[in-house]
Amino acid sequence: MVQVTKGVLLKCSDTAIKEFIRYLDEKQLLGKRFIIKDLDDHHLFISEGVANHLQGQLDDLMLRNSYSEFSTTD
Amino acid sequence: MAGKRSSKTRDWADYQERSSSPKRLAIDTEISKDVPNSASANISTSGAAPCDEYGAKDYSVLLTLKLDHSTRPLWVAPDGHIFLESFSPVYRHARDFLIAIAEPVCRPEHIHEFQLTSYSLYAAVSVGLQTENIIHYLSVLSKTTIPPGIVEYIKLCTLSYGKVKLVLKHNRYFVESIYPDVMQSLLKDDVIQSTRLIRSEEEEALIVEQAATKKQPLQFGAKPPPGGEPGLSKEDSQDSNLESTSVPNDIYDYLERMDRDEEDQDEQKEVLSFEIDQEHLEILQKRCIELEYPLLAEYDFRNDTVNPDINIDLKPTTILRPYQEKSLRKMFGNGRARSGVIVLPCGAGKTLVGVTAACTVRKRCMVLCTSAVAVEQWWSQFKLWSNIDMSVVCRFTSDAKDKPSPNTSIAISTYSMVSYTQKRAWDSQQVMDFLQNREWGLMILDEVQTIPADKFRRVLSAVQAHCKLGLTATLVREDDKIQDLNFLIGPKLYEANWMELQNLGFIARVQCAEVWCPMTPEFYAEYLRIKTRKRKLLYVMNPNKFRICQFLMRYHERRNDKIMIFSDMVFPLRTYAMKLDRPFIDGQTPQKERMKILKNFRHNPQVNTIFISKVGDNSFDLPDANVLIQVSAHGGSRRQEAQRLGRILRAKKGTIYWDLVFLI
Repeated sequence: MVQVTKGVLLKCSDTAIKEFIRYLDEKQLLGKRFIIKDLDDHHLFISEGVANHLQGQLDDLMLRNSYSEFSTTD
Repeated sequence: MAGKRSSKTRDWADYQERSSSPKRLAIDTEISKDVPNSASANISTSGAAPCDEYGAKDYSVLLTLKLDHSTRPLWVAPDGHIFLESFSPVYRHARDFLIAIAEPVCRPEHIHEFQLTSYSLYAAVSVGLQTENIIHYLSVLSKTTIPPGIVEYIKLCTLSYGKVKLVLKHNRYFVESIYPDVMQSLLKDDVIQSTRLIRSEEEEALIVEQAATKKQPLQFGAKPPPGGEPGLSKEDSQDSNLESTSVPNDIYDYLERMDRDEEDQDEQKEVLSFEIDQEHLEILQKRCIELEYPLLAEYDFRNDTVNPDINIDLKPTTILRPYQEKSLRKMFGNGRARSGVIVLPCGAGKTLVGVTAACTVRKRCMVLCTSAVAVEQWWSQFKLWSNIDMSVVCRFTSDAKDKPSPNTSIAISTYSMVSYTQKRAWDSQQVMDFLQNREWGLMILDEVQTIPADKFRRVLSAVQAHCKLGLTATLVREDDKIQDLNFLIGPKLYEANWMELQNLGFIARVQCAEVWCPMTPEFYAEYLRIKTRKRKLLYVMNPNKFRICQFLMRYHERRNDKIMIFSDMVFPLRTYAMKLDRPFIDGQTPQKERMKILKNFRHNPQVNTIFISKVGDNSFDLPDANVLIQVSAHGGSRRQEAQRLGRILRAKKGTIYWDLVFLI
């Protein structure tokens, strides 16, 4: 029996970013698990709804890692 | 004043409150007493300027632009920040004036930013500027009217400073002032009255004497070649050509007067003084700070007949650079030695300034530095620049203990050695007694920013010195403690502009590059799942970083560069060094081995790369190193970066600074 799941193909040119996404999935930081299939080093197949949310998380990460005069993180 | 306190003052008040709580060490309370109250004064921001939609402040309501504003170089903002146009024809003069009265904040190419602080104004007064003159020059140089808050602030901070001097003459302490009213109010105080030393009936009245009328201008170093100081005079004549173009006359007049003022302000004025009992000196100093008249310490070394002169002069071949001479002029401005701090970039010849100061004072001199390596360097610098008989120079470290003799006139040691409080070995106790029982004319404190205040107090109480000279490249600390130093040693006397020295070719031009090393997925996956300090280890040991480091090292070795690789963490340092098969120095490397590695690095063409941990941040004088790779760092300490950068500023060849940063 064929099961059909709608999803989005996510291409990560940087493998480290893929690790970060896998980490989000594993800890369920977006509220639920969302990776449907880990395809290869650069590709993930994820559920449709989370793409926007994921983008926000990645922006956050970038912001945390770049220097800003006003940042209060350690 | 209490009503005007804003955030910064509050911090200070917190600090004071904390330190006076009984749980804190007694030492801390003492420190806060050393700082006068007005030091915590802040600029009143009355009438805050309206902000526009982008958050920029609109001062046009508060200040009026002068008609000839385009010829004047300064903007003075009501919050105490001053902006200087470095392309202005009077830039050079305005800069000298601003450095005297304000802290440089940021000095890029075209616009320099300064900030008025109570400490900087204190420093200004102590090098001889007067309240009304500061306000006047500022208003002449400014494009707009001066905000009233600033005028008030300058008055508040400077009126009481620098009015009273503590002078040591013929080994007797005198309190000196040229202001009769200040003197009277001091004398009315009971505490101060009790510290007075009255030798005879006639001395009951104040001693009045004419200040030395004509002072011999001090000559530093060797005699200048015919034609005066070539570098300086040429610059001057160039400038005057420029200036004749478009400078309003009043600026000119004041510039001339300012120069005169700074050089010999107390010429032909009546000086009032009274003598102080040496035993009560500490009480007097405390009391004067409470009365808001901090004493400026000066040492009249020429009239000191009790301490023997030592035979030391600069070698005739030694030539001082213009900025070195300028900094010393600030120190010996009126023929006496002032205590204070001189700030010069690494590699700009701080040691030579120190040696020259010792040659000028010509009294017993004590040098304190941060490490045994630095002790060796000072020792060899004295040998290199001065004609002193090296048998009277004594090194005092845990390894090399030169036997002190009665003739010893220059002692070089480390802070930790002198401030050590545990029981000492017999022979080092001998040396320590020797150091303590002497009266020192000059104490030079190298890398003065590194020592915490309590340790510093121990040093000061252990060794008696008439005049203290602090040397540093980076008068910044990430905590606020640097301000304490200003009052423990003295004000900042001079600060050189890094960019300018670079453009004049005195220090090397450095190319800095941040190399972003992507994490490998495996390391990053682990990194995300670990929350402890192991994280740091993971990104330092990142294989990509290792490969990039190896590549850069090989690349520069092929170009015959001398490479230093820094890592704060010891484990990666050792691993990198062992994998790449290069020598390394960390905290545990014995002194002998360190010297051997450094010597090899300098002279052996086979050894082009060394790995160094935090121990190499300061005072490793390696003139040949021209490439620096930083594998890991605090990442938040301006001092550390500047000091490391300083290691390669001495180089003659093109220098490169690679900072390896991990990418996400």
